[in-house]
Amino acid sequence: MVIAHGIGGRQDLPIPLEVLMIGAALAVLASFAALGLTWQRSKFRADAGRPVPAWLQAFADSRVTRTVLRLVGVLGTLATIVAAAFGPSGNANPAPWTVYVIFWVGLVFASLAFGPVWKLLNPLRAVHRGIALLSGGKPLARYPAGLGYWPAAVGLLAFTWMELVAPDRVEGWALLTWFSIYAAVMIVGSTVFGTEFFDKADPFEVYSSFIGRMAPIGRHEDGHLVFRNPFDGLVGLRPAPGLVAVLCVMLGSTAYDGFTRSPWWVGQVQDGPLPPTLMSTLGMFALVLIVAVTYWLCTYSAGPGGPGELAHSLIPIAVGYLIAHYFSLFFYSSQSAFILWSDPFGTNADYLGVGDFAVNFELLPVWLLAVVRAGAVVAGHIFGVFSAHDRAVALLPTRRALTGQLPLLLLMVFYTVGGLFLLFAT
Amino acid sequence: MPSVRVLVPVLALSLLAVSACGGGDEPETAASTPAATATAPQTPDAAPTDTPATPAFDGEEFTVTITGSKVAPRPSIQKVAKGTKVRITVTADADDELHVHGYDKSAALKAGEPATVEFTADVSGRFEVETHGAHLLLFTLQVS
Repeated sequence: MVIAHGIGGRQDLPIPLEVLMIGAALAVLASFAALGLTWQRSKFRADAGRPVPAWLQAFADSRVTRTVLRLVGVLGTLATIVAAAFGPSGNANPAPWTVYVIFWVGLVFASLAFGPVWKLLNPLRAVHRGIALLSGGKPLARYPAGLGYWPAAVGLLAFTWMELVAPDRVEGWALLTWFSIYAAVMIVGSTVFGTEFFDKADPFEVYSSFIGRMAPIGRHEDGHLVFRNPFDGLVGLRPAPGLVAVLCVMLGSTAYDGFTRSPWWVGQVQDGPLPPTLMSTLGMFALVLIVAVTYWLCTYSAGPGGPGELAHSLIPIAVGYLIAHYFSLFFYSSQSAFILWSDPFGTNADYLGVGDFAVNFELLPVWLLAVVRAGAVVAGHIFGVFSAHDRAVALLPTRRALTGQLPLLLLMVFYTVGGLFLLFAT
Repeated sequence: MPSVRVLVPVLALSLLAVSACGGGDEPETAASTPAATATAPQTPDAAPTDTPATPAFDGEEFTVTITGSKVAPRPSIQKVAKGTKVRITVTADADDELHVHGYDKSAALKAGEPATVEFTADVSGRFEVETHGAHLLLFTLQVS
């Protein structure tokens, strides 16, 4: 991205043409395999998995672990607020780096490795605990089932809009404004509806829990932790209002980010008749809408429940995009963030002793980055295609299973080849 | 034809250099920088009035003019080989700050006065060259 003019600085070189070709070929091949050569009866189960060793379960559930994680979340948030409020302006401040790189991009990797981690770190859950202690803690109302994930979809759209469009996105006041509104909504919501509000309406918890379904470790409904394959985790995501919307925002905003790296688009925005911010906003909303409409059209053929039933298969595709776009950013810019935390107030302090350290942008070989980026998109595609196939054969009678899943399969090929092309051309 | 077009601004620059320095020690270096003429105006009276003649530069030169929110030439990807010397000259119609991301090179832009940053492109990747105040992308430098 630059997750902004301001953060990041270095962007990846385009992937070589050979990598694009090999990636696209693999994606098409996997799609045919999913269609023809595989199982005809659904085999992924949300209750599958091998139990983890007892010590790991005890460690994960212990009060100490929980308290430490919550403290990390609360203290990290407080430090970021202080830096945003009192530190230097713009990208000399560690706060925007912490929010956009460590928190937002780091959340993808942490969730992919450990599951829905934000639930354990979320500082607003601590605030809610505090309020509940004072008030007695009884929710005033039940969370309306019809609301589903819609608040999270809106929240994610609002956050990605700030990340990718807002002109002053790296300024402390902008971050503080956005997160104050978000926190106010979350605190009021959780006071009224209880902690279920965080599960369904908090954009970051929903984001983390969706991506966390691909983690090698998962939790069954009875509380037992298991090692499981990503397919079994994904299949546990059941249709709900707003589910498709969340995924369309995830896919559309990441695609917009790739798209806006092209100088062609920037030229359109800078030279166009509309104010740049309005033009960028329209561009981002348009991509989210394109994803939504194409997905809806291609899954409705599997029945009216199709869009919701197949939505989990979009998660790996979104995760593939996210890794492709943010892997090197995370690798390099988390170092920048660390360096800035050594002097958060611009007073020439060196609290962490890394003030002289400079990020070496040559640490990751160019070929490795190309393979990781294209590989992530293709791997996401393969996971997506097989997840969709498995749900399609469960959903549809055998003779219709093939035709019912074909449109979505073609759409996934389109997303993947399009995604690879973005990595190649921009 | 090209040789004539090249000569006009070179002559203009040489004359300016002569009159500015009050001596005649610069003309031959000015004449040896064909790159400087690539985007230079074609008539002497439209030539920049305060640009001193630049010495020969053995690298890639990029010249950008900003008028309001219009960037000329339009933003594009400019490729250079790793290790190339890069010189970026920007003239803006308002005060701003020129910034090369990643390399973290900056220069203050004064309205109407060309500002230059120079560095060796020794880190591979893509780097945005932009203005900090107006948030305008000038071009993307691709080093590989």
